Amino acid sequence: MTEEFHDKARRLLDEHARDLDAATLSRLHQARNQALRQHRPFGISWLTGRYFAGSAIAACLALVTVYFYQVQPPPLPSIFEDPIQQETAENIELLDDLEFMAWLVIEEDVPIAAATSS
Amino acid sequence: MGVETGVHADYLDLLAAGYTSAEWHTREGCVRQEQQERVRDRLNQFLSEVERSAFRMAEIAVRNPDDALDIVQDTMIKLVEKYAHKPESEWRPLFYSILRSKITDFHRRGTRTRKLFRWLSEDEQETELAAEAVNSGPAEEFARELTLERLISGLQQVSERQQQAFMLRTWQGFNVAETAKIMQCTQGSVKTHLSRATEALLRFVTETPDQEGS
Repeated sequence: MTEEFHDKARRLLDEHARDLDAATLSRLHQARNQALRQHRPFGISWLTGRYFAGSAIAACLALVTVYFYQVQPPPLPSIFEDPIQQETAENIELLDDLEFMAWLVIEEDVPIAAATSS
Repeated sequence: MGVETGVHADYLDLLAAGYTSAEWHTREGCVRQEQQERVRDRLNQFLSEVERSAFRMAEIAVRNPDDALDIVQDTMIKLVEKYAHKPESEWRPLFYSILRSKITDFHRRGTRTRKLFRWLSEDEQETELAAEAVNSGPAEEFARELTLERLISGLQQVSERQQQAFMLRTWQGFNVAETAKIMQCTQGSVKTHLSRATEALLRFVTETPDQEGS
């Protein structure tokens, strides 16, 4: 007895499922598309995953190493009170011009000599 | 797991054959893209097959088409997000397991809301069809008297578990073991729920006047 009842119930529910209005079908279609947009690559191979993870870690370590252990030339001691002379002294190219350096020294002494003589 | 093991072995074989790691990743990337597209197409086809019956099942359970649509969409999203990697043969029981869970969550939220505001309104006692023994009559008579309206009304009167057991076993065609897994209960419970649902529905069909006035 129950078999006939179940069979009839199944047919009625199948017909009920087929009989959907266009608006509901459209919304179901949208829901399905929305769900499929959530599909992400699954089962990324352990090798690929570890490859990228290892590369990222290595890159970070390299950046940290470069940042903390980058060799900086020690600053020259401030031996000149005049900042222009100090900057000139730090300029390697100008250091090669000894005549220019000698002129600077003379020019520095001239005002002192003029001041002492007067 | 099986896919990953195969990929690992494939990688080692190609390395042994002289391929570089970059060549392997390029080849692997193309293969995976094709696999993903195939899975997506299969998912689309599967969801298009089950969406109508899932909607009707949810609608009968929650009695509201908008809520039913939300439940079906949430079910689809969860299946695609969490279980797309499972074998295709498992998609259907997984889908209905998620659907059943979403419906149960919906009812629980409604129960909490009703309990919270019960002091504001009269208590609504939900009557449940008594699964009393029905005098056996001609099977054809029961089948003849069964209309869609009566069936839906009867299903909405039985308990949630009885309704789920009837829908999954009778309509969706899951066997007892599959139904037990979906409903997260024992096989004995499934049989009991189905038996009581059937008795209650038969009683409802025979005792409820036909709304169409036949």
